[in-house]
Amino acid sequence: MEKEKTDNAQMSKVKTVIKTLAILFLLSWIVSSVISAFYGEDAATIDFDANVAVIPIKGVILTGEADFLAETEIAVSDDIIEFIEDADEQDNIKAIIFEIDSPGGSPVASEEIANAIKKTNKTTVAWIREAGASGAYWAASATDHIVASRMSITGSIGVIASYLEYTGLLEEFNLTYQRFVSGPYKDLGDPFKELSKEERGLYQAKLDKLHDYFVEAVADNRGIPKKDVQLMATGMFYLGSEAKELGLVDEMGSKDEAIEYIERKLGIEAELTEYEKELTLADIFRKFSNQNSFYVGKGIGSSLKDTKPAVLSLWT
Amino acid sequence: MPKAHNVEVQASVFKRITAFLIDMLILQFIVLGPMDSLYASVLPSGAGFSEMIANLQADNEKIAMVSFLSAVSGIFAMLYFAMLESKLGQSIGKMAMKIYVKSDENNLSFWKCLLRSFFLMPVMPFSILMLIDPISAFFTKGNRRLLEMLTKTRTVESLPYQQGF
Repeated sequence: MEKEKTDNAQMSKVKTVIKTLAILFLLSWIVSSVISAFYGEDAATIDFDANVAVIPIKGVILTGEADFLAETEIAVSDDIIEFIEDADEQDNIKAIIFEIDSPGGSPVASEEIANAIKKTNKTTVAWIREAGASGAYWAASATDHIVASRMSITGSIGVIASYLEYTGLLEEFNLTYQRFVSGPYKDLGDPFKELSKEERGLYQAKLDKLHDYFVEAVADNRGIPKKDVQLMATGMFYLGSEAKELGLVDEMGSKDEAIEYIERKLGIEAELTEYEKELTLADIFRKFSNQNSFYVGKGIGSSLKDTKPAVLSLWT
Repeated sequence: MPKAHNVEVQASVFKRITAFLIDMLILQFIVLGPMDSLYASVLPSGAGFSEMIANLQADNEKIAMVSFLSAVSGIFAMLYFAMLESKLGQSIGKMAMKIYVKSDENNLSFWKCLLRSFFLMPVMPFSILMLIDPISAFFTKGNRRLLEMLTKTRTVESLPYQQGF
């Protein structure tokens, strides 16, 4: 009887211990999940054993975040610049490899990245994979050495701008566009009115200017005479092998060649660490909330298709 | 015939320290295990101590995060002791060393147990207790910690006592 009582007491004790540990473990797991959802690393926590940082430039290059529901991958210039500056501050990091897989993007964002690359004191290598064209090439040209596959798509030195003009549609539905402007060119590029010859000329002049900036940057970065770059800057894309012949890339290869270049130049054995932007739950909630707030006003139904008016967008 | 029975005495310092170390291991690997990845995301890997400090000092957000995580860990540690000691009079480490907590007023409540574990809170100004509280046990009557005196509790063990001629 006494023994049974003791056994029961012992069993009860064990149950209490297990219950307590289980409750605390569960609470700890919940709390750490909640904290990690809201605390995201903006830059990788540097591995102190590493001496080469890998910074990805993947997707369309833009200055701001994309819509939450956007299908296209976005390379945000602010994030990339933050990674570059972080790597620049780390004494153990001797070189940076930019892993590029981008069709280009906004001229401003591309130039921002190129400028940040030029500012860093570290050895920089661009490793172009599927594509490193247009604005992405602008950024790559700022590095010390460019490695590309013979089949990479690169070059495409030029500027593109486009928008849909709805004037024909308005006419068909007998709609009239009422125009009120304080200056003659205030609504330049408005999709609801026809682009005049004069306006077209003005627009083209702006594009030509951007084109010139792009050509200057590549000529300066690659040490190629400007007139030679102008000849290449037809907007045509080049395969990696063609770009090598033109002097737009330095070497055919992949990541191994990029690493070998660094090891040869700096006399080190490369240990890599990669930067990546973590999307926190808070980021997702914020974007979703912003998106939803906008669409609540518009009507949820219209959010199911893209009804944003086509706006003029400039792309390199 | 001499009568044998047990008598309660203040637990030895050796047993108390050993029990505490066992409890810390359990806290580290079981209770605070889910938080390891959080610490790893803040503290740089492969870094020596001075490199880690330099890395943290360069980033106020990281310092704030480490402080916050330490406070959360402290709370879980206190809850561990409070929940077990108030229910069973013992934590797992104390069970292993056969020592237990008793209240002078025979009412070992959850809040008393929580308060007597407050030296585990690594947040200023309470973090000073981490040093003062355990050390005080060496200088007080009956080897009681400051927080034990405050909460009117003590850590005891049962020793056999034989009464006879």
